Amino acid sequence: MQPLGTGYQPSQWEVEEEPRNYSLTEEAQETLLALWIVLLLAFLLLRWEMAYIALPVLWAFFVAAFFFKPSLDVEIERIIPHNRFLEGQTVEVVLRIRARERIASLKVLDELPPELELVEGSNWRVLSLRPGDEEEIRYKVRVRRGIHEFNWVHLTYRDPFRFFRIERKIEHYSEIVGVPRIEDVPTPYSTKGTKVTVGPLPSPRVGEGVEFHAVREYQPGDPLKIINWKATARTGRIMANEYESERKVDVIFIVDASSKGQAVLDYTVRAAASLMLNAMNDGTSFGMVLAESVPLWVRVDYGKRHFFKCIDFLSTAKPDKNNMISYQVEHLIRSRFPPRAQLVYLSPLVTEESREALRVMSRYGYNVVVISPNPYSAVEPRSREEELALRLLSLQRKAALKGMRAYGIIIDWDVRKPLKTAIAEVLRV
Amino acid sequence: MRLPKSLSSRNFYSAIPLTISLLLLYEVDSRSLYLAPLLLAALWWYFFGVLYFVGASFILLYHRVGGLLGISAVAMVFLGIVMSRLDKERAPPSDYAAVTAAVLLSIPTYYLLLPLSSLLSGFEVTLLAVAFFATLYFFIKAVAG
Repeated sequence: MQPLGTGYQPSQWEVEEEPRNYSLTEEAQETLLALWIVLLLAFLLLRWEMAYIALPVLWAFFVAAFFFKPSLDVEIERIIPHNRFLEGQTVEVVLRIRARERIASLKVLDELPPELELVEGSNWRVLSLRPGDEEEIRYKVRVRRGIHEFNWVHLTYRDPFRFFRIERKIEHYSEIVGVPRIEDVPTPYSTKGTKVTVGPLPSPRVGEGVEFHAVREYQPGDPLKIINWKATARTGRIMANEYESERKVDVIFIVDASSKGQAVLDYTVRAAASLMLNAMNDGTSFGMVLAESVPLWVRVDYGKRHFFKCIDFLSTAKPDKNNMISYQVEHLIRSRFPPRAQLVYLSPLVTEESREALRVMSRYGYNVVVISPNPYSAVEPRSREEELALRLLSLQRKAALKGMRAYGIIIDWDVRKPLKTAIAEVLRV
Repeated sequence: MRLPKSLSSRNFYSAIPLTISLLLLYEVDSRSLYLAPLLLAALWWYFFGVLYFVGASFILLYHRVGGLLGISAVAMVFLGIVMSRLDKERAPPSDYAAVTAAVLLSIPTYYLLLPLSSLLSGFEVTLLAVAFFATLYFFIKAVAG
């Protein structure tokens, strides 16, 4: 048995050499039992000469065993157009099967990764194949965020009578990465920075640069090249041009993947991805901390490749039960974070640990913007009691967020609204 | 009107041999109609089909109805319950053809065995049948093992 190739998506191919598992089906066992009962009845009713009424069953077993014993010699290919899809997107998967021998009845099942939702078609089919025949199984799945691995194709041969069964499991690897949905968002953090690098994010600090800012009177010590001769002639005083500094900030995105915020984890990840795209488009360098049980730190860098690397890591974010974000953030601040970076903290702030993390960031003197998806806005109340409970919890959350405002700008995001609206409401951008 | 999924996602070819079998059994004994619920259940569950097979065989044995009618009735019952499985899986037509051919082979086989049995005494026929079933048993055990 050999795979045909990789289709459009590069994937690993390996065929598990497994002995054929040839066994009787439940139907065959039931039929044999019925056969013995009929013979017993013939004996008890003294109609032994009528044993021939069992002939149809005997013929069925004889034909099934002698004429339908294939070795399941097939080639299989799985075709997936790409391997990265936006979450929620529908993807068509094609499983192509080519037979090298006559197989009267072959059930082919493409094992789906558990997180993928089958939306159209079926991932299994019963086929009747002649040598050289090629058949396709087409089905559509809806992609969720994360890495989804296709590992196995199950082949089950049953003779036309369904009496004997041969099962085979073929290892056949392909993967789909569901990347978070991205929306256009405004920049929610201050652009004041100290890093002297070239980039489009202007700092209000006046200094050397190329972008004209204003005209002022010449000061002793200013370079002669900045003198504005036209303004000097007009005013009668020596005037000089002022340029904006091209200093920009490093931004660190800290994503809280605590399991208590599981209801809004997808929103948290989408917000992080959207803000990263915004940072990339602005030419800002950014890093990322994904606070899971083993924190994932992506160092500060620029560009598309870095952006896609961060998106890939974000795609893998899973709710984490042992969240130690405060300890992790403090450790990274001491060892990895650039000084005076802008921190963007994405957390529903539902755990004391996540609130402590914000205090830690503030204590070390960082500017922090918190994007906090409200977990209660993601829940639809099903009864009057649930509605009241949600209201109480929302009030409790509001009070808690109010107490946290001293540590940073907090954007309380009702996830039923777009993120840009939530940012605009707080920052008036 | 849209059919429920349990009806629209399968075939119903097995209803033909099962209906024929009930008509043949009705010829033998009108009380065969009591087996009709099992027949209907056999369309969905193989186990009930097997019960129907045992019930139909009992009626034939009890009334000592063999010959073409008896073997045809059993063949139709068995064909029906096997085809109900194929219907559920929407099996290819070749599977139906193989099943039908194999089961209907029992009728010429019966006519081949008939002159042979008349040559042998009752005890010898019994011995032949025992040998036949023992061979079948060991053969299936060898294949399944």
